Amino acid sequence: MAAEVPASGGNDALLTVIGAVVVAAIGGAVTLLSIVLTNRSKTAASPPSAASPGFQGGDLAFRDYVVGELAVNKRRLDDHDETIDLQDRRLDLIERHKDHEQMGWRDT
Amino acid sequence: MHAVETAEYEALLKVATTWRKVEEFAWARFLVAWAALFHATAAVILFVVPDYQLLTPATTPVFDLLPPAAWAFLFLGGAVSLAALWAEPSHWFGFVVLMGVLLIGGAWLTTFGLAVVRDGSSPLGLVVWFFLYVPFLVGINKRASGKR
Repeated sequence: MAAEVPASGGNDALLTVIGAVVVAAIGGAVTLLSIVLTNRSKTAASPPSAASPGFQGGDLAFRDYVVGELAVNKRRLDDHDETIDLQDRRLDLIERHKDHEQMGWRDT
Repeated sequence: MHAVETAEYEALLKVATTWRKVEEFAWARFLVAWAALFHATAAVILFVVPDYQLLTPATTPVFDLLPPAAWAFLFLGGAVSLAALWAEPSHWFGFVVLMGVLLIGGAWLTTFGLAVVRDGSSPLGLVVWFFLYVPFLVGINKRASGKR
């Protein structure tokens, strides 16, 4: 069954057309504005800040950031290995000294 | 070289891998395809569904302007042009498609807005149309500028 729908005046049709044009105009303006802003940010890119650590770039800078973080991690681990080596050498020295001074200390 | 096994390293690799997948996904094409599918579905519904089901207090102004069959053709045109933009990105064609799609969506958005103001209808339809067309606008813009 057809639902009873009140007929709208020609005014509503006109308002619909105006609404459609306004929406399209706003969409077009937003598009043009985004194009202008994108082009402006391309020509005047700000240099990366060395003072503030952490990721602050766009999508493409992310890979560089990850590679940098990995390099830092690797360097930290290398330093850590060197510390362990140093400790091992010191321990060896102490053990050898102890072997001379106090025979059989290892059995106690 | 030695094996690097830290929680930080693994977490970083996980983030990088996930980001790479997100970055490489063809978002612009996906949004344009989604918009094309919506317009094609709307066209089919307007062609197939009887008028008495389409005509509601909210849709009266838009059907006063053009009959359902004409709207069906407009939605179909939108779907076809979106499919063309999906296949081949172009600045000027993208802008034309955007304007066409926004004119269609704007008319329906306005008619649902009028229903809310005049008849006290549910504003949910208005919200749905608005949030539907915002990602369409983003996708069309990105695709028009040649993004994947």
